[in-house]
This record gives sequence, C-alpha cells and structure tokens, in this order.
Amino acid sequence: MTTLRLTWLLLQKDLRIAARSREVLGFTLLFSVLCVLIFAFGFLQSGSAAVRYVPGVLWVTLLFASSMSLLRLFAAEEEGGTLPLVSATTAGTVPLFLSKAGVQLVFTTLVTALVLPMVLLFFDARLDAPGPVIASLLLGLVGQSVVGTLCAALLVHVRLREVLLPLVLYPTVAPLVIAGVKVTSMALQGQSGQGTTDWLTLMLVFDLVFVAASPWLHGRAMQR
Amino acid sequence: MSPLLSPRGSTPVRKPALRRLAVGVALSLVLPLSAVAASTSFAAPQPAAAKADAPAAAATAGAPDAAAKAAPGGAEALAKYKEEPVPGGALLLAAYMVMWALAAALVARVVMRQSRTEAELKELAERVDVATETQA
Amino acid sequence: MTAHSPAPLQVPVKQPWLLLAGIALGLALIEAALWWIATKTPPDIILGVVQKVFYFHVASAFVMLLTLTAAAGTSLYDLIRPDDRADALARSCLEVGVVFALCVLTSGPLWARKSWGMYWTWEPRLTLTLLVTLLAVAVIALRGLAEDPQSGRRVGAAMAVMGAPASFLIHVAVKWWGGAHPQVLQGGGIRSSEMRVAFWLAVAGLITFAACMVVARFRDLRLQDRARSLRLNLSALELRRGRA
Repeated sequence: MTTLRLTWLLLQKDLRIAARSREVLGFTLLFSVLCVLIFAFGFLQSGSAAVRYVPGVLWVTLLFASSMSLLRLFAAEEEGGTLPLVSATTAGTVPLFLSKAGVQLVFTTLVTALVLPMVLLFFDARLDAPGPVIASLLLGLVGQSVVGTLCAALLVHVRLREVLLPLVLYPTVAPLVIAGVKVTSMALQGQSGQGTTDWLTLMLVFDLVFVAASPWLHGRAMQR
Repeated sequence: MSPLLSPRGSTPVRKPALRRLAVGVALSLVLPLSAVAASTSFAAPQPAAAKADAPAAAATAGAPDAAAKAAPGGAEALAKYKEEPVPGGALLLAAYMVMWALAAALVARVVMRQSRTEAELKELAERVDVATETQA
Repeated sequence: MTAHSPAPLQVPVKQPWLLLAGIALGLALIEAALWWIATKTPPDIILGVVQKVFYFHVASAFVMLLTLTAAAGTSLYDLIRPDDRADALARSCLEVGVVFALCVLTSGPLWARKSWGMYWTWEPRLTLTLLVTLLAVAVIALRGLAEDPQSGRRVGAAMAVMGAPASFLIHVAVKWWGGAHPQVLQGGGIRSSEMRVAFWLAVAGLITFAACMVVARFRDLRLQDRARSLRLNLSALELRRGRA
C-alpha cells in the first residue's frame, strides 16, 4: 500500500470519527467564538480605532483555537495504545503524520470560516480586496497545522504536555503569525503590492521548509 | 584507589580545589574590574558626551538611527537628551552587573554539577575497590 | 571478572588543564575588553556612556546565536546518526545559550531605556529573541519531563532543530522587518577604531568563555554517562558475586 493511499485512508477514518462525535470540533469552534468575544471586551473601548485590532485578534484567535484542537489530536491513538501499530506499516510514520496534519488543517479551516466573518462583523471592518488575506490565511493554516501536528506528535509521551505545547508551538510559528498579521493589516488599509508579496513569499518558504522537514523529523524522533 | 579508576596514568579523582581556585581568582578579578570600568564611565560627566568635538569620535552607525526615530533631527535629539537626563551611567552599571551575575551563576552551576559528579565517581570508586578486593 | 570485561569499569578522569587555560584566556580577553571600554573608547555623541553596553550586549547576542545554532546542528546530527557525544554537546550548548540569551535580554532593555526611551518595545528582533529563549528553556525542561530518557532525547533534539529557523530570523529580522534595532554590523560598521578594538575583544573573550563553559558541561555530562554505565556494571558484578 502506498504512502498516499494509506494517508487517505487514515484521514478518512479520523474525519469520520470527528464527524460522528463532533466533540473536539464543536468545542474548538465554541472556544474560538469566546476568544473573539473576550478580545472584543478587551479592545473595544471607543470603537473608532477598532479596525487596528482586527489582524491581531484574527491571528491570535486562530493560533489559540489550533492549539486547543492539537491537544486532542492524538487522543484516540493514545487511549487505544495504537500509535506503534499505525506506524508499523512499511510506509512508516509518514502516513500517520500527514493524515493528522490533514485533520488539523480541516479543523482550523472550519474555525477560520467561522472566525473571519465574525471578526470582520464585530470590529466593523471592511475587506475590499480579500485575495491577499485569504492567501495568507491558507498559507498560515497549512504551516500552523504542520508545525502544530509535529509538536503534538513529539509531546505524546511527555508529561505536562498541555503546558509545553504552547511553549514550543508559539515560538516556532511566530514568523507565520507576524507575516499573517502584516498582510492582513496591509489589506485592511487598502495597500497591496511588493510588501504583501514579500510577506506571502516568506510564509510560502516557511511552509515548504516545514512541510518537507516535519514528516522526516517526526519519523526520526519517534523511532524506537 | 583502585587501579581500574586510573588507567592511562591519569589522575584518579580530580583535585577540585585547584579548579575552584582558578575560577575564583579569575572571577574576583573580573568583578572589581568591571565595577571600576562602569564607575569610571559613570564618573565621566555627561557634557563630555555632548561635547563631541570630533566626528571621528563618532557613534556607532546605528545609534543616530535610533535617535532619529525618537526625534527627527540629530540636534533636536541631542537637546532632548540633555534636557531630560536619564541616568545613563547607572543603567550601564546595572547592565554590566546583571551580565556578570548571570555569568557567575553559570560558572557556579557548572562547578556545582561537576562536584556532584565527582562525589558520585568517588563513591563508585569505593564500590569498585570493595567489589574487586572481595573477589580477589 | 573474566565475563565482565574490565573496560567499562574504567573511568579515565584527566585534569582539564586545557580547559583551565581556556577559561584563563577568555577571562583575560574579557578583562582587556573591559579595560579598553573603560579607558579608551569615546562615549557616544548622542547616547553618552550608556552606549558602552553595546560591546557586551552584541557579543552576548553573537554567542547566543552561535550556541543555539550549534545546539540545533548537533541535535540534527544526533537524530540522523544517534551519538551520545552529539547529544551531550547539544545539551551543553543549549544551556550556555540560554544564559547568554538572558544576558542579551537584560542588558538590552537597560540600554533601550536610554536610547529608545523605554525598557521594552514590541520590535521583531526583541520579540523573536524572547520567543527563542522560551523555546530553548522548554526544550531543556522537556528532557526532564519525558517518560523515558531516550524518547526525551529524540524529542528534545527534534524541537531544537525546529527552533533553528527562528534563530535565523532573529539574525535577519532587522533587515527584513525594520524595527528599532540599529544595523551596526550590516550597515556602515563601527567608525571609531577604538570602539572596533573593544568590540572584537569582547566578542573574542565571550566566545572563548562560552566555549569553555560548553566544554565543561560536556565533560560533566559525559562523565555522568560513564558513571551510569559503571554503576550498571557494578550492580551486575555484585549480583553475580552474591549468587556465587
């Protein structure tokens, strides 16, 4: 069985489980709504300068929500003790990693689909040219999912992982968040051009590096 | 001491006193010197900084940048800094003291961990002696 | 005793003369730099004496980037080709790197209080340095929290490798993202020759000192490894003797 086929099967399995129970996704969506509301309480005082906070609120909410669902990403395998079994195929740990990253990407995309309109609505922002923002969100979600899955997978056998996960995830994805915030704020101010392209290129390079390196690092770190 | 612990003619257990002495002497040299360094700079009156007779005694290339960001125009920035003197010397002193404290903490930690290893090795050496003697 | 080869019982411990000499050299260089800074370098035209933080602040940043990059490199090697020495070296580099990162993070704000008018500003280089420091602390903590030491070792190594892009970004942050940090070395360089001498003395001194600390920690970790295997051998020996 090829790596891709195995990945697809595992991805289907995980998505089916998620669709049936809806626990993790539901709570992650709830959490992200709460997060935006809390930010709104914290930042909206006069209402005039609200647009300034949109990029930050958007990206930080996505980061928080993604670390929420990451903590449960390997829960089923851990409780069932099936991690060594899933990685015992000839394809190694790569299908497991890719399928988990795929699940995380689906989750965070759904969260984004909810959070982006909500933030724009609450903070009364208008997005005339959504192209760069959507591109940055796509690149950001891919990068966050891959790095986040790597962190979660590495921390499976570590105590206090709930505390350690943000501690290792946030520094690593910081470049993505910085770039995403910059692109979003430029788009909100109606600017575009060289600056936006540079930031998107940075995100693309980051994604390529981690998409290429993460499955390998994961396999190396998990070998027995 | 068991011969097993001293192959190749090396010293069986390190003499910690020597190393600690060396580190101590060196640190005790650095600390006062840095204090002297900082205090001489501290004692240097602020106007000496503002005098700036020669551009040759120039700042680092970037420093004016930072100042220009704070208040555009070097002269204005200079005037501003003269007006509200932040105690530069005290900050300098504090920065160096903190850095030396951190370095000293690092050295202390390394020495502490080494003496722990040393004690462990000593205990193991005694156990080796007992084990090999009774066997013989 | 014949079944147990005596080799693992040997713990060669040599006097670290070279290490002592290295420490002495490093401290001498630091002293020289301090002397030069105190007596020879002119105070900055605009910032005054506080600019003299520059020398050791930037040198610490150099050492931080060097040690953290070395930690990532040795961790990568350890992942590709498991090697106890690479692991010990990565751990010692990481520990020393964190100490120098703390030096950078404390001396920086004290200098910024004067030159930028505030202790802290959310500037890319500053923020990334703090984040990378936290990551390094997390990796050190993780080693102790793993359920078994071998998996902790591999996970820690993978994390250290993951931090490498962020370290690289610290290096280029100011160039790419602007920010308030002056570009001294990338830009025009240091114009005064006294300042240049003091700066490079400080860099050389701190690098020597840090290298010695790394070597000292490395020696210690290796000795602990050997003590551990010696302990195992001894236990086996004593067990056999008890049975006989």
